[in-house]
Amino acid sequence: MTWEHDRVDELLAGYVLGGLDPEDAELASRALVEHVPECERCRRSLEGYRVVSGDIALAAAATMPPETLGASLARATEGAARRPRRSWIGAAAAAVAVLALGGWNALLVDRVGDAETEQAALLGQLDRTQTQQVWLTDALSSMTHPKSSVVPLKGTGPTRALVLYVRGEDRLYVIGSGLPEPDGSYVLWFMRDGSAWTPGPLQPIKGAAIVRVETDASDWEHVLVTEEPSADTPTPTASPIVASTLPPK
Amino acid sequence: MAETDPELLGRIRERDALAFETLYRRYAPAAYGLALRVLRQPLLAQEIVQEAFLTVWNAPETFDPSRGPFRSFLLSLVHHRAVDAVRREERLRERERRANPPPVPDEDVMDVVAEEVDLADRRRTVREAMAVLSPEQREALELMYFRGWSHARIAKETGIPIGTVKSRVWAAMRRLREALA
Repeated sequence: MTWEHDRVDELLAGYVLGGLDPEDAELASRALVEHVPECERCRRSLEGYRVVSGDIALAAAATMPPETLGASLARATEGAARRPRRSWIGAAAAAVAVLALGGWNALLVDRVGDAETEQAALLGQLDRTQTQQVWLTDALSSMTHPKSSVVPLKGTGPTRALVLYVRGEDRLYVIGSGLPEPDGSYVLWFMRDGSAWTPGPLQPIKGAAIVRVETDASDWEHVLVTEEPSADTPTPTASPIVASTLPPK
Repeated sequence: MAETDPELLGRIRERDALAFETLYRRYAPAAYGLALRVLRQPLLAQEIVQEAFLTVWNAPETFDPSRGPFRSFLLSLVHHRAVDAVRREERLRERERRANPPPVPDEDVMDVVAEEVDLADRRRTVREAMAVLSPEQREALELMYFRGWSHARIAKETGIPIGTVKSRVWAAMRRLREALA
């Protein structure tokens, strides 16, 4: 697809505001995967819109929250300081979560409106939303970092994907779009010296997915996505849907 | 001299509750004011702000100062969560909301919160930039930002063609991006 700067710019403006309708949201997510990482002009534009989307908040009147809010946070942080912190270190302890890009606000609303959604599932969904928000914001920021690197994954089908990371950091994002509904499970793999490691499955929503992986991209030689009969497969058994070599250190 | 946001976040990474409290006091009024303006429900607004600050406490490493101001990161986080919540609430309680609209904070009310100089200056700059937008651009932007309406919803509720809505929002954002760079 050929991307026109003005069209992308318009999509990005609506995207950071959270105001795109599903069709435009899906287009925006594709632009974020297929165009923005490789376009300096659009990356700068996105960064500028991101700042604006935070600053518009200052047009609202500052309002002191009730004291109970501060007290509640104080209790929560005291408790958190005593609990062991979740480990983010090392590939073996890597934590993975999945969220959908573009139109995901509408998708989450759709899920909430699903008559079959139980309250426990709803709470689980809301819990993921909190993390998703932070990681989505971080992924967008990564695209404009001066040390950001983007590695497109190549395939023969409609799927597009890329690995996005900041050189020297121990985390990266794998972002995909155009993922057809699988018969089994999409699994993400990192390979080195012929050995494969997976942080887990990719779970696209309406064909789009983003995964945050706590690992240094320079520790790996290849990254690929396969469709496996089961998400628990220890090694890839199918041909890659998309794959790429990762740059060495 | 007050500690900078990156300095406070560095201490928060070391689980410094006092640094977290300082950051909270610095931005809670702006965050809560935003959430209240979007949600128009004080309890839900408090919940959103609490979740946003807990995100900062639990994952301070997700913010990198080289990527932009912490202010933008936090307020964008609050905004996104507030818009999600308002859409969720509207789906679940649409009828109740229409029958009993909650009180809406007056957009023109004076801020009664004393803020640090930098934040107060930025707030003034933002309001000046918003004032320069055309009324149509400002309306479209505010409906999207503070009501959580999509392009289609704005078009439907105002009777303005959706293409015009998109153009106005885009024009407003371009002008603000230039003014606030």
